[in-house]
Amino acid sequence: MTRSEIPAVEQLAKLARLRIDRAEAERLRVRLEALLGHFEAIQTIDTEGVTASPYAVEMTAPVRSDLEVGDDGPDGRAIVAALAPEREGDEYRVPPVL
Amino acid sequence: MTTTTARELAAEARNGQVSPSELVDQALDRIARRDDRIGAFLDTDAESARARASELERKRAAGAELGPLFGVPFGLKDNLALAGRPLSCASRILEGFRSSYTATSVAKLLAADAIPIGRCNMDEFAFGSSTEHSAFQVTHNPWNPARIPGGSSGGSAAAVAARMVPFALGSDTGGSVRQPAALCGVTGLKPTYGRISRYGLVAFGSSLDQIGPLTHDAADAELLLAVLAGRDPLDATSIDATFETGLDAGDLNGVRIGLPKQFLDDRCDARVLRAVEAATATLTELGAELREVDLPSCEHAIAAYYLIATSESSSNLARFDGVRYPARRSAETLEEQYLRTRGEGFGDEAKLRILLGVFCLSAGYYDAHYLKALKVRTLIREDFARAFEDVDVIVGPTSPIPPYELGEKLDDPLALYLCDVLTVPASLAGIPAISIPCGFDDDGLPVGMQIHGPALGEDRVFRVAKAYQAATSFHLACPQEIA
Repeated sequence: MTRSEIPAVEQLAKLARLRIDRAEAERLRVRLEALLGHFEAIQTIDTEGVTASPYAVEMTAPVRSDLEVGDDGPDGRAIVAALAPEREGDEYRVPPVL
Repeated sequence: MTTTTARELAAEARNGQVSPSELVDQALDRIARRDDRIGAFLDTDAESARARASELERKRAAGAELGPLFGVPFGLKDNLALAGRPLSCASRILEGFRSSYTATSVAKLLAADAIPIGRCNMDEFAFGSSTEHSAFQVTHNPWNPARIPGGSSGGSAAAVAARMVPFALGSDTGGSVRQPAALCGVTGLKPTYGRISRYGLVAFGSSLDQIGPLTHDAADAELLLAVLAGRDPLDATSIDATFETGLDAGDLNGVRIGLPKQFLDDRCDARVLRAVEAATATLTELGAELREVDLPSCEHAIAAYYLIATSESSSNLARFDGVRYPARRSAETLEEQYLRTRGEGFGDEAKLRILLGVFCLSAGYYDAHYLKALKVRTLIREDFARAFEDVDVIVGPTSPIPPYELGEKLDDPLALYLCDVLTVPASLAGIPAISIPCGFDDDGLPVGMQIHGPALGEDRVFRVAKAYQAATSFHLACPQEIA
């Protein structure tokens, strides 16, 4: 793909919630263009009438009852809360969103 | 130094010829003496390993039934969960994280009485095929420390090749078990998609990821598949099919082996082709019949694979945002926190793949990229299905080139991605494939041969691999510094 056909790297980074500086953006732009340019050959394959394969093997989305599974035991909440970047007791602390 | 397989060590430990504690101490000693040159392990947990060895010794003394991997130490790729242990995917964004539960595959190894001894290095989030993209260290090829070990399970492959552990677990999304196995001169299996539960494996490309063992030979890989396979209610994509170890190595009379011209063309280094041609000659001497097969859509496998895998990974990695996992770069607003945490937490290659995936899934680009790639995957699956109507297995090289110099392709992602050209077709088709050592190049570096089977056809793959290894000794060869 040509440079004009690819969205700005800064725009993609914004969608991906990634902070990148100017030098990184330029380096990533060059690499993205090279990769997408190479992958462009896939467009030459005739896939008219071909079904997409989201999985490599035939499968349908499994359905199960909406029941609680697993049991982390009495310490389960504390174990998970211990992974929080910041916490108050057994609860995660996050920055204000409003 | 002789090569001792996991099944031999387990038998000796069950018989009392060696104790689990001795096996743990031997492994720790080898890691201490060799890993400063190799960098296969991110860490070891000697205390837990020794405690578990003592526990297994008490089990034996009590007369309890002992597992098929009794007392055998193993390495664990750093994207597999073991409760209470760190798990980083070799990424800064998971620094400080400890698993709160154990992956089903690891739990099965524990139930088989194996002993986890440490975490193996990898490319960050399995994004790479050289193990140079770890945020923490580079892993070196035990056959020549100036060369790459392959990746992304390069730490696991190097640990086995350097005889630090008799086996290790890796994960294979587009070749991440098979390619490092080939470049390090060990055996590596990617099973049929769904054969082994992915519960507790940090997701990269969910429709492609499979856990696989790296071992000294195919018989050990077979034993490990028997331990690891089976339906898991915690992984909806796992298949309800167990696996049992097969017969001892025999001849290959009546076996039809397909040779795809797309895997044996000028994209492959001549040194690799020479080794694989010699290997196929050995297979015919064992009784197999060679037939040419055509896999035309595999010409586009690299594009299809990278468009699918990066799309899935960009979605899977969205969870690492500084809210749910320990690494956080604090900021005044939540949005700013996301941007800083992810911007500073992910390495270059991870960022590139996330951006590529976000692009493929963006409105206006989705149909021409992600959806198109899913349709090409259908064509590749159909190619293999047609080929397996005429042949039992398909054989070719694992990697198109021998291990290259560290740093050689760091600035050229396309060149790096093209190294996966022979492994991604099996990933896209969801079929099993094993890489086994089949020779050396002029510099004494290992070359791997890949054997593919149809879905759930691991028994065919093992029949051919075991027969080949019974007739050859490449899998027994040891790096010079280790020998």
